[in-house]
Amino acid sequence: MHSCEDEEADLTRTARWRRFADEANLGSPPEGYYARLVKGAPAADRTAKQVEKDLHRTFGSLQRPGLRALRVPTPEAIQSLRNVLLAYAQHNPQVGYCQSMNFLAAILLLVVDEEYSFWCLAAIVERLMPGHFSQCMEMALVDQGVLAHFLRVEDPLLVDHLEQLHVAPSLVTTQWLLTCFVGSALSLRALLRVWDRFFTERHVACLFRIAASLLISSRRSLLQIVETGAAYQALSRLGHDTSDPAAIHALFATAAALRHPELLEHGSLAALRHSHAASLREERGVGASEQAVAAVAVATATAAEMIAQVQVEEEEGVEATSGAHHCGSSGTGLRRQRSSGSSARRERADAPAGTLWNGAALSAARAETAADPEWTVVPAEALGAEPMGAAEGWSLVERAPAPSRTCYTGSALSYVILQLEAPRLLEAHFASDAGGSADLAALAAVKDLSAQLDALA
Amino acid sequence: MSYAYLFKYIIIGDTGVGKSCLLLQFTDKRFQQVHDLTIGVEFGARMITIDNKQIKLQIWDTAGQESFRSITRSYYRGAAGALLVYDITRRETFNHLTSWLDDARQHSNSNMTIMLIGNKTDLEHRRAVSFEEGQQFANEHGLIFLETSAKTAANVEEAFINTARRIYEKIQQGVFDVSNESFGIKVGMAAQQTGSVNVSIQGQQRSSSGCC
Repeated sequence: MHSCEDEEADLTRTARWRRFADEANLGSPPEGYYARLVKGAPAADRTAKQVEKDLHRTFGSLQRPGLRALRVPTPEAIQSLRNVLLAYAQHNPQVGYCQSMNFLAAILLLVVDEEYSFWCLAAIVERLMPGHFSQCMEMALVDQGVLAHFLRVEDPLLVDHLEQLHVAPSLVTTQWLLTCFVGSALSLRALLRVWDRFFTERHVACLFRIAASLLISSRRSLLQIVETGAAYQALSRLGHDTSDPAAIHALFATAAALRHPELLEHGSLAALRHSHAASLREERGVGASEQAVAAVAVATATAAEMIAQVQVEEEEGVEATSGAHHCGSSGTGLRRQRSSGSSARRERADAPAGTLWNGAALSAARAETAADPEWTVVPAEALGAEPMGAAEGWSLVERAPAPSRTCYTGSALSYVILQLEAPRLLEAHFASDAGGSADLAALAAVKDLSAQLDALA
Repeated sequence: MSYAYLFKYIIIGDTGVGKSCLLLQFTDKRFQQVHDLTIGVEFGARMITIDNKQIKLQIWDTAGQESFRSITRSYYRGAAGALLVYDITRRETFNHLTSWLDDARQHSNSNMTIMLIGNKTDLEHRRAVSFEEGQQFANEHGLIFLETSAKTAANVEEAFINTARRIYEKIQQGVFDVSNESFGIKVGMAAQQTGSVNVSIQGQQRSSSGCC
């Protein structure tokens, strides 16, 4: 087990996410499947039209009070995003394309290639969050209720305060959960850590804890707010200050020290979900409630499988870091997890959702945070004055890893995320009538910037 | 800042019709060519003046994709006004109005004021729904109607302010129990201090064409 954790720390993020996809989807991807989906995707149906509209709205701009970011995709990035989303709609017509999947795919494409982005997306949609992205989004609704309940138990004073201001936490947590925090103000660095953890823990409770951590970490300032707009702004900004390793560590530390983690354990979470689904009867009618109850049953069974899988891996060690890993979990739903010798392990079986939130995992997270080989965060000053210097308000630049990966389309994928305070570039981008030419200008500027970053490295 | 009244609005309509852009134009007076997709619900606020009274608008902007309705539905409750938006260049967004309206009527309080908005008049050359059709739909369903452009800001102020004016009139007529916050109306300190409210509404005949 010890060696397993070491190995975990040694793996690159790309390898870890690929492994997650292989295991969560119960085996490495069938050869050629993704390519066939991409080829066969209809170009003009309703889904395709919707995806097309959303491609640019995925990168667009990120607006938070006092914080603006511009994400500039390369044309290849847009094509890859289109491929992944259309392929998924083909693969799973029941879900098709649900808005927010575009944000998930965009983040995946930063780390793994197109084909694995597709499989990671499938794993999130079908294995980690089943029912969240379905036609009626039953589980999104149920889990919103469950998270609200959890937050209330954790910090009743804070939740009461926010509700009195008419900004229930669900105002932001809906977005947080559905986009796995892409729609939050978390720095990209912190966001990727959260996803690392999510893919290791393989349970939605991971996202609940992060949500609670973000709120509780800022409870003092939130409690002082007395106006709705200000409260909304503060909630939207939660996590914006997580670009340095210490802040990320604090985020996870708070998440690990919640008062009632037992509520998120498999059994109690299932019960909470079920009771919330049943209670929808009054508000939404019998039909909606029954749909939700059915969705909870599926989600619970899937979660049990995922937990069993994580435990099997912990016990047997991870055989391979290559893509050809076959996991030991069968598809038999609520199969009782295999028991093993140590009492510590038994404890884990009883509290599976808390497994990764112990001290060892925390120190591993700390180690990871200290050495982050894939991402660079460069202070504005380091860039000098040109072409877009600190004088124009740069505060932070986060750059995607060098595009060494080859995508299915054969093109390298990269995009750059700039976080800045009221820069001229951003104004030009959005003031322009011809969005296309502004995009190109921005892209050229970003390429310049990338060259500078390379020179620095 | 003190206000006489606070009104809550909700903005609804198909995805991509310009709901978030209308809100941004109204609150920040700017247009964003590429606006991030709204997931769930977002919020904006602005103070306006009607009849010399400061009125605060709290606006809840919702995700438009069909499947999100189960999530956004709960925001209808407690809204005094709704902006129901379609895109004049995409007929399907007009065709879906009935279903949006059913949803709104079913989940809101019965006195909610609804403003129908045909957005994107800057794209006149691609118009697929005539002004008359929009007006007729509004007449048939008892809605106020305007065509707007979030891009040029044409009629954007009017859309939000005329809705507020209608709500204000209803208050004068005693339609609402303003002490009950479930109507999406809150009486502020300013109104309480000045006592009873003046019945006349200024600028009601103001031209609703274009921006200036």
